[in-house]
Amino acid sequence: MQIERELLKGVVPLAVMKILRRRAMYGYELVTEVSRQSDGVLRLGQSTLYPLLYNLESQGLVESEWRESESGRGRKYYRLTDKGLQRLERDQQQWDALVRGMGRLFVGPAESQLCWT
Amino acid sequence: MSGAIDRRLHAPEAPLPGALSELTDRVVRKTRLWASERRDLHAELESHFREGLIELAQEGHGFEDSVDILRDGFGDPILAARLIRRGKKRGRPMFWKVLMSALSVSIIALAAGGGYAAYLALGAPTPSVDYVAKINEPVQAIPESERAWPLLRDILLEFRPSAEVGPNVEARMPGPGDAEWPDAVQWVASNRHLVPRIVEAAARPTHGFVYSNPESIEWLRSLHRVRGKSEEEIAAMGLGAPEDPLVPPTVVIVLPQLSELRSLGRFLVLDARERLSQGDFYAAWESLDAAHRLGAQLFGSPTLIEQLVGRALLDLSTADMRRALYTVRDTLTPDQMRIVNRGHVMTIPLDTIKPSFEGEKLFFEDIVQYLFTDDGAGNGRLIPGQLAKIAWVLADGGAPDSPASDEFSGEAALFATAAVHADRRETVEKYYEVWDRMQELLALPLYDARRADAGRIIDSELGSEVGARRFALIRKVIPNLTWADEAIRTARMDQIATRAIVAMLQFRAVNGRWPDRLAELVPDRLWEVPKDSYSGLNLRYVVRADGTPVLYSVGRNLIDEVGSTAAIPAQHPGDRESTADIVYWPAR
Repeated sequence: MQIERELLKGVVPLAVMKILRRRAMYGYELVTEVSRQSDGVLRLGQSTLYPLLYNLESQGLVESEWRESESGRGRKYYRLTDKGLQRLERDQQQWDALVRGMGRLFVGPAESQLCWT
Repeated sequence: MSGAIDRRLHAPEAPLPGALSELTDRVVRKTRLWASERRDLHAELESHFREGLIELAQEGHGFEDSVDILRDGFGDPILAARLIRRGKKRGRPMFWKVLMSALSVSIIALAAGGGYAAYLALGAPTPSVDYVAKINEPVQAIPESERAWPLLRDILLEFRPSAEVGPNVEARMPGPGDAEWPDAVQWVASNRHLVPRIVEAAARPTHGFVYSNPESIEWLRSLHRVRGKSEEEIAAMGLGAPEDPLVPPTVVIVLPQLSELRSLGRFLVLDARERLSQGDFYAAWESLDAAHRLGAQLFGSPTLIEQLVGRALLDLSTADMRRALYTVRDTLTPDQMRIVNRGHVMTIPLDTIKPSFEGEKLFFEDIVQYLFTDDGAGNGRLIPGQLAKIAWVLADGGAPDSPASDEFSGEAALFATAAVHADRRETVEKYYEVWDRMQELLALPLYDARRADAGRIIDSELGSEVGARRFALIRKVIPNLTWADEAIRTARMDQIATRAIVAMLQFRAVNGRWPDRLAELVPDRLWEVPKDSYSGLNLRYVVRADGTPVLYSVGRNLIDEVGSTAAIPAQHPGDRESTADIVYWPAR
């Protein structure tokens, strides 16, 4: 399903931080993980991913470092910082509230107990 | 996946496929980031595509297919470059951000300033009033037969300045017995035939000069011609007003008659000295009276500069009247006394000897209409380009090419500030406010110390830093009365003292002695005891032990020094040297 660009705008940074919460990842890996874990709903174009990562980095929410892979190739890994973790938790609460609210609005109170986590 | 493909993908030093390499290069180039940032980005995108190729190969895609997927999946490279640039810039160090902010602010300020400067410079004045005509209105309402200038215009064309006849004696004004006296006599003789016509002109009630550059300049050319200048020399003088129609006409008004009239006055005084030395009191008094009348006529002129030339003629003539009376004090006949009594010095209304600058006010209004734009509601802004056209005037006089013009350039910044700060309405209102205040102060009695504030008003009203900048134009064009008011005071005192002396002589002729006190002259010969314009008290009068009466003013220092004429230095900037007391009798 193709999601409207404007709807995705606020969601993608949250999704990236959520993925990075588990472990550090490099760019291409992030693209595939976001797509995989969202069942293909969130598909990041590379032209979207890197500006997003640089923005998060400039805010101190993620940090990067070059590491060498087993095959000797260089990869730039991104990992969530403490500040990023705090932001993720705050944003996640807001997201839960939003999902509940939207759930009530669209499907009724019972089903709205489901949340994104 | 073939072994060849596998090696191509896993070898760290292996080049990326052409399409992806080009895409990487293009995106990196378009970001216009710093070199270090570009290197980092290049490495990251390269790594990204390598990982992508491996992943896609593992998913079973062919090499070319993988390249296409990665290239197409990347999105718009231009948009990507722009977003990457934005993201990277946000991550730059704080000092760089501060620097860029400052730079941006500077550029905006410069652009705004440049725009505003252009806006100011591009304005054009819309003058609507002919102030030259306006200033001439009162004169032109007077019949020509009552104006002296039409006669003087021709007389001066025949009049020979002293430097043409011999050594320049005008500046020294010698008397009989002085080494230069023979030269003075020679000069007087060369012009004496003009005296009857000068007397006729002086008898007219007004000076009557009409401001008109074409006529004045033509007259000036004629003057140079009769004084022996060739046409080439006259052309080289650059006579004539600027052709630029946007130069205020009043600031380039030519007043060539003033220096000539001063010269004419000196001639009349020297003529009187020569006549008196020959024993002809009547002719001497006639010349002095003519000089006095010419001076008084100039007090009807609209500008302060004309009035100050008039004051110089009054000063010259009354001083020599007193000398003449002193010379004949013991032989004065009733006939001579009658002539003296009919003299202009005895009848001139004293309140006509006052500083008046209605003309300067009109000049100011003319300057405003040429220097400011007009929004139709009485407001507008100063146009620097127009200001530059009268720079030589604002630089305290001089000609357009004089060194004084350079002085103005030093004040350019001040005027530029004024251009930004002052608008037309505010400038005009402030000028009127200061002008009215000056008139108010000058209406006070001559001895009132507050009159001196009229001379200091420029500093007190406009002297603050803000005032100086905002009203730089007013500071330059408003008349400075520091010296003018003092000149008027002495001129008025000259008249009062000369009348008192005539009364003293009349008293002596009747009583055979000098009065003991000035009060003895009242009311038969004077309406009241003459007042000292410095102190506001009676003019000082003492009779010395040898019987000589001394009539004097306490002078600027207000101290009665019993007729001492010791020099005292100037007390304020702009003051002239004075004497302790100002002695009118005995006349020297």
